[in-house]
Amino acid sequence: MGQVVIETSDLSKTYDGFTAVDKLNLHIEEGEIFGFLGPNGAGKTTTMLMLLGLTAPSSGTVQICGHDPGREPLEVKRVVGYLPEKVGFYENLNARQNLEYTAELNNLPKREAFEKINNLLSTVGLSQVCDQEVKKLSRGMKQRLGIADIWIKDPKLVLLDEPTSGIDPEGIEDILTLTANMARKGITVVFCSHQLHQVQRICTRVGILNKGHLVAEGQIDRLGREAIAGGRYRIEIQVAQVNQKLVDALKLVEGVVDVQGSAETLLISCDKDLREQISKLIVESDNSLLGMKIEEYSLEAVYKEVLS
Amino acid sequence: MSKSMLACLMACLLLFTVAFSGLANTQLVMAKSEEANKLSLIPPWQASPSEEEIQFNCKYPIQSGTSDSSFSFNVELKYVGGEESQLFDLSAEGPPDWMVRVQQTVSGTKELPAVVLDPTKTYSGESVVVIAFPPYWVVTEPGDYNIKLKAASGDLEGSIDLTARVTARYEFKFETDTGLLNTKATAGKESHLTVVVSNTGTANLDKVMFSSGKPSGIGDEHWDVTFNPDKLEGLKPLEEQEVDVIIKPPAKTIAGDYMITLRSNSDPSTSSSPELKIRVTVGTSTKWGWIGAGIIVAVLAGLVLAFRKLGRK
Amino acid sequence: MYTVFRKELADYLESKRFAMLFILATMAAVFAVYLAVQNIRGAVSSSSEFVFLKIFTVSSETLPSFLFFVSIFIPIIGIAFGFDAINNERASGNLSRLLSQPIYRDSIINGKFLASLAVLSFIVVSVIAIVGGLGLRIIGVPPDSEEVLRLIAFALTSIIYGAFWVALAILFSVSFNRAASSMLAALALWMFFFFFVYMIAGAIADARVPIDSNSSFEMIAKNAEIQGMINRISPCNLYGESILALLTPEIASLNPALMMISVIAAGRMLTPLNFTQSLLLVWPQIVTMVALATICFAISYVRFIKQEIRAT
Ligand SMILES: Nc1ncnc2c1ncn2[C@@H]1O[C@H](COP(=O)(O)OP(=O)(O)OP(=O)(O)O)[C@@H](O)[C@H]1O
Ligand SMILES: [Mg+2]
Repeated sequence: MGQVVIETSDLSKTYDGFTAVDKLNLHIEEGEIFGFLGPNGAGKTTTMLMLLGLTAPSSGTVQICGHDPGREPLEVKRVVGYLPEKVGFYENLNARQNLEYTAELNNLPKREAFEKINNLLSTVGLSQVCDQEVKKLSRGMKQRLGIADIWIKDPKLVLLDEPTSGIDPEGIEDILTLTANMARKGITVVFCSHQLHQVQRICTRVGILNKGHLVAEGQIDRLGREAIAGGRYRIEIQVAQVNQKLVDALKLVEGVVDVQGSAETLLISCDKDLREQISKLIVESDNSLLGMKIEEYSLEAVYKEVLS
Repeated sequence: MSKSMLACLMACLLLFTVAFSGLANTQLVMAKSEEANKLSLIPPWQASPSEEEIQFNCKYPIQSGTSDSSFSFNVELKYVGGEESQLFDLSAEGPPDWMVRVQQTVSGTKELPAVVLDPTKTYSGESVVVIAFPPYWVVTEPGDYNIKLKAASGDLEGSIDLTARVTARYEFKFETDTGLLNTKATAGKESHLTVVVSNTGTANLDKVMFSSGKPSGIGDEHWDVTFNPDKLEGLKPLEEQEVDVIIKPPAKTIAGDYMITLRSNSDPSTSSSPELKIRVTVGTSTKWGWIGAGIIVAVLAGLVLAFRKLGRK
Repeated sequence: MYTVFRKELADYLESKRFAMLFILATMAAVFAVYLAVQNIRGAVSSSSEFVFLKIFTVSSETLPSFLFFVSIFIPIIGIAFGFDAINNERASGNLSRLLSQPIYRDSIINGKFLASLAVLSFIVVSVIAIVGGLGLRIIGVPPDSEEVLRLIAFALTSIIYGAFWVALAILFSVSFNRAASSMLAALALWMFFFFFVYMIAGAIADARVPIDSNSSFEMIAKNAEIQGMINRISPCNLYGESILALLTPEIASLNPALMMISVIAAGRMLTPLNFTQSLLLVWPQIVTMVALATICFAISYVRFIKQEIRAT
């Protein structure tokens, strides 16, 4: 697939004997939206800090686009946009001036920065208040400004630490769309949140952290299969008439482990996604397929399952 | 005790002798003639004058002085030969333009237009003072001026001549041309002050020299006060000469007021030579004043510039 | 770093504390000049060549000289422009965001230090210039080249001293998470240096070498020497000695009693030192101040570089 953006190996952080992050191995590629989950105090923020070099790892290594944030901070920071948990701005400056300062720190030419800032401000819906001092903005507005702030440089990797906290539903929608669009342009996103349904909507892959350990990692459906269905696919079909012959035939399909039946629906457990073969088989057996659904695993269920 | 008794006795004896002798004399005169008999009442010391007259007596009838002084003569008037007191009109005459007054005393203010003289009682006469003032608006030429005091009552009149001898003199004046006793100067720069020496008198003035007293305190050795010309050979009567005084405070003089004294020793005989105390106000040299102000303006400009350039408007 | 410097400078220039301190310092300075000029005629002896410097050093009976005002104002300005440099950013959540920008971490602390120093230098130089200008305008005696040199040295020494306080305040701002605590700590330290060291020094010197009204000169000198040595642990004293010697050419020794002895016993003439001599006299003091400033800044630098930047 694409280029590796984040690579950590045995990344650990201990605070006075307390291990906040324990032997974390992450591998995230270009264009991914990686959901980073875990209960409070699991070590998500700490991990992000280490990814950026804002705190030094106790042991293990981090590579961001092939650079070590501790040794080559500028190369890393040039491509990483970070939205901290509690984002802050210069209260005495207005929204635009804050963004201008960020642009200046990124060595953006003035004209370019000006246009970019205008676009971003309208994207996050702050065009009306951009000339107000930051201290007069609401918490959600500041959060939106924080999101605008990370797009000022053209990041390859975006670390979002609870980006949607304090933002209204419409705003959340905008942010999620924006993030998804960015990912489509090849930007990698690490999305840390406690809002599981948001993560489920946009993330291609999630990692669940608990007490510093990465307890689960992968695509949501795979995690679901592993956690809930013992790693099986479960396909539910509705046919005109359920008979033993069909059940037997299905059982004979390669990869089908188990078929359970009721009046009109059959629940097929299988090793692989066998929807194609199954639908073909039903059609061939002169039965009419009324509906077919592969079971989706809600992230919530997975999360609960993993942490229990 | 016995001594005083003796003195007393002596005095009594003396009185007795005098009285007795007088009586004896009178008797003698009475014995002489009828006329003598008539005159027997006249005291014996008035015996000689037979005529009524008025006598003047002045101890110092000639006085000399400079033209700015006054001349006062003490004159005693005596009326002799009369029988009873009379009022005499007094008048004094001087040269034209002189003012002459007759007063009771030198310091008195009242003029005496007349005096009563009593021929019977007066022993030494009545004394008056004649004061003569030379005119003050012109310098009176040296020379003798005659003043005449007259006393008159009816046909009886008399006069005395008094002489005021005006001597030559010089009058030295030393003052600034403006009459002001302050001037301005700038540290390290020469400033000029004009003083005028003049001789308003009638005699020549020899050699006028100048000297100065400089401020005490800071850098006194550096104060420079020079006179140009630094001395005068002489001044004739009514001659006036301007002298340029160059005052140069030391370069590091702090702005403020300083006192300098200008002296001229015109007359070696008088210990107090005329002196002028001049207050010199040393101002900031305009150049440094402006530079000082310039620095402050520059600082403010720098502040504004810093705001303009470095602040965000 | 230049960007950080520019931004911080702009912030400082527009801050209320700059306006306040600038006006306050200027007022104190003008006041001091006014008093100095009132008393300068009496203070200038007939042999004095350094009339202009007197504007800065002459005090009235009731109020201290310009030097005293300066020595109080510089620590205050230094602390005011440093005590919240880092912890304020951290508390506001700015720091994480700032540090995720492509700049080296030290540019932030360097930029802030330089900006504070620039503002401080600006105030110091302005105030000295205003005093000089006013003095020039009032007394009308221009400074000669030596006096100008001495004034420049005075300004530089003041800036070095200010740098020490800025560095110290920044060190506290790195070490304490709350601006209020770092300010209090800095002020407490200043008070310690400014007042208590003098008291302690006096007490110790008197205990070691007791003196009274009929002590010999040697004893007095020894007492003063001990006092001086202890005082020198205080940067306030280092600065005080430096500027006094720089602006008073007549001072030939930093020990007043020794100076007196040298005049009375050794027959030294009371002639002023030339500039290099004065500078040499206080050179150790100046070097120590530079060293102190450097050490403070280095510690805060290292601390800041190693610190975890977490938005809390
Ligand atoms: N400076 C610190 N010193 C000691 N322990 C710390 C420090 N910072 C964080 N920790 C600990 O490290 C652990 C991980 O903290 P972290 O902030 O990474 O959690 P998190 O996953 O981001 O939690 P949340 O969901 O609440 O944001 C926590 O148990 C916390 O107590
Ligand atoms: Mg967190």
